[in-house]
Amino acid sequence: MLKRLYIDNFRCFVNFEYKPERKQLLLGANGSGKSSLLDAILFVKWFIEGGENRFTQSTRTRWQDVPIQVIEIEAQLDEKRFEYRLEIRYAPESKLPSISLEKLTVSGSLVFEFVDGEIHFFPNEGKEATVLPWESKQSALLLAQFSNLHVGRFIAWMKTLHCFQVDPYPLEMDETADGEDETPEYDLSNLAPWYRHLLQVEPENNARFLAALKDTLTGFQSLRFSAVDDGVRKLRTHFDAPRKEGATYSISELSEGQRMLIGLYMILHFVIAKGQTVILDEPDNFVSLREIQPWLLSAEEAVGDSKGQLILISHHPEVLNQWSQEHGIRFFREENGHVRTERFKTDYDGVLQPSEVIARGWENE
Amino acid sequence: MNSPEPVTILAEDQRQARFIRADLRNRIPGLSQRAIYDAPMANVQGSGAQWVIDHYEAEILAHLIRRAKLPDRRRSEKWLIVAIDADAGTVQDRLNEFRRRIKESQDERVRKCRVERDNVARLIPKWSIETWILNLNGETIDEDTSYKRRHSEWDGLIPIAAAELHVWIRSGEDLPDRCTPSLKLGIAELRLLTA
Repeated sequence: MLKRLYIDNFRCFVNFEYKPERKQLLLGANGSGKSSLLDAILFVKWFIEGGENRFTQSTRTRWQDVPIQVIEIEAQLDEKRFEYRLEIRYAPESKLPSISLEKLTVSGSLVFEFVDGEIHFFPNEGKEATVLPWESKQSALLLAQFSNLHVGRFIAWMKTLHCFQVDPYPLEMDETADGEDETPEYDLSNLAPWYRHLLQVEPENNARFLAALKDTLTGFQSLRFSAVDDGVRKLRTHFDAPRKEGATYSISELSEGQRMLIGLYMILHFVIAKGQTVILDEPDNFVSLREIQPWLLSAEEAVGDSKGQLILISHHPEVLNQWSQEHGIRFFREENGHVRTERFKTDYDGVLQPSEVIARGWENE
Repeated sequence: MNSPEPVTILAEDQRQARFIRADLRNRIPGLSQRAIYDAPMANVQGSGAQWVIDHYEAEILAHLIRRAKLPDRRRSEKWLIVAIDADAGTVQDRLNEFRRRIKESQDERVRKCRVERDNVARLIPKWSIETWILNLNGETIDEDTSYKRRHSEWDGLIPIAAAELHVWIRSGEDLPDRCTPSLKLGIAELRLLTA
């Protein structure tokens, strides 16, 4: 479970600390930093998983000139406290970024460190064994995953830390699957190859997923792959149709809302229900009002059952009214400065719904 | 008011709310759309008047809670404007209903509310807001007739009516002879907001 996040000198975050709970709703005005928080985590996740460093000069806080950017991620795994720290230093003239520090501690003991161009491997906790020179724009953590079980455990957990900004536009959400993807992309652009993988490995969750779709999408019958030219398989839906046994539609022929719902229920049944940590940005986009609460309540129950973690970012009245009182964290910026947070509270309990208070702009009076 | 501050409108339909918003913008230069909040309205097919009556107490309470968070000197900046048609009844019938809602409230804060002191204005056109709009557009009309169907398009008349209302509000006691009794009461309520 994600326990703590520290961000300094990234966009509008300066010396920012956030300790998420098992269920949380991040709310606040446009530009208050909610989605940037997700981006910070996503950049670290991509970096640790072997991608390029996405922290660049343009991601530094504009109104200060601090050469070091810091991100810390703390997780509680197997009753141990994992603390990962990443420092990016920007060269004075070129402003080019380089990794100046990357380290992982477990319950206070160093298990991996990259500093001053050297990787320090710690096969046994607290005991330094090997030093290796390292020059790369990529994370050195991956190299250490087999030297220390804790490093491998943390990397594996990072792979199950999901940040989603689902994009249901047909050109983004590909319906072809010429292979299988084990993990979903942040925007679900690989929905079809991910589902192809899930079909093989999670038949029980798939049955629940399809049942949920039948309950949600009017006339929905099935979701299956059909072989087309060159062995490429395309994801097709089958719906009831008037005076026919049914009609088949490709994923791209569905509405954005229908695609979004398919994506949301996949996240629910294949990620949240497995107890993983999910940060989901605006799940209510494109979704009809009637469908928001059923998904939200199902997700809440899934988090409870699986001991997972769900952090939602939303402006939607239905989500605000359901979650803000108990789980709401308000993001705000005073005078367009750095991001601050406070637990959402309303003095209008029983008088106005939280969404009404926010719509009136009274939450920060 | 020193600076534009949010005003809440509890109205029974969009035409009433638009009329009030137009008046507010005339009276408070620079007032942005963001500074005015229209409380949810009844479905157009339903009884708008009953909706306003049913939500009156809650809006009064919300208004009082909001004012209570401010220092005394700033409380007069927060306004609640309530609009309801008198329809076939009387203005006094509506006022009595509002008073009953306050008197019988379960919340002590509401029971202690004095609308004149607490920056709550109650606009009760007889028959309806269309009567006021025509009146302010220069027509001599009576309050025993419903003018709702006089025009199919009212939007163009509202800015003219609001501009005239602004003149009348600022004119002291010398309201034109053609000003209907319910509009006189409405102007008195609006004047109290800035008293």
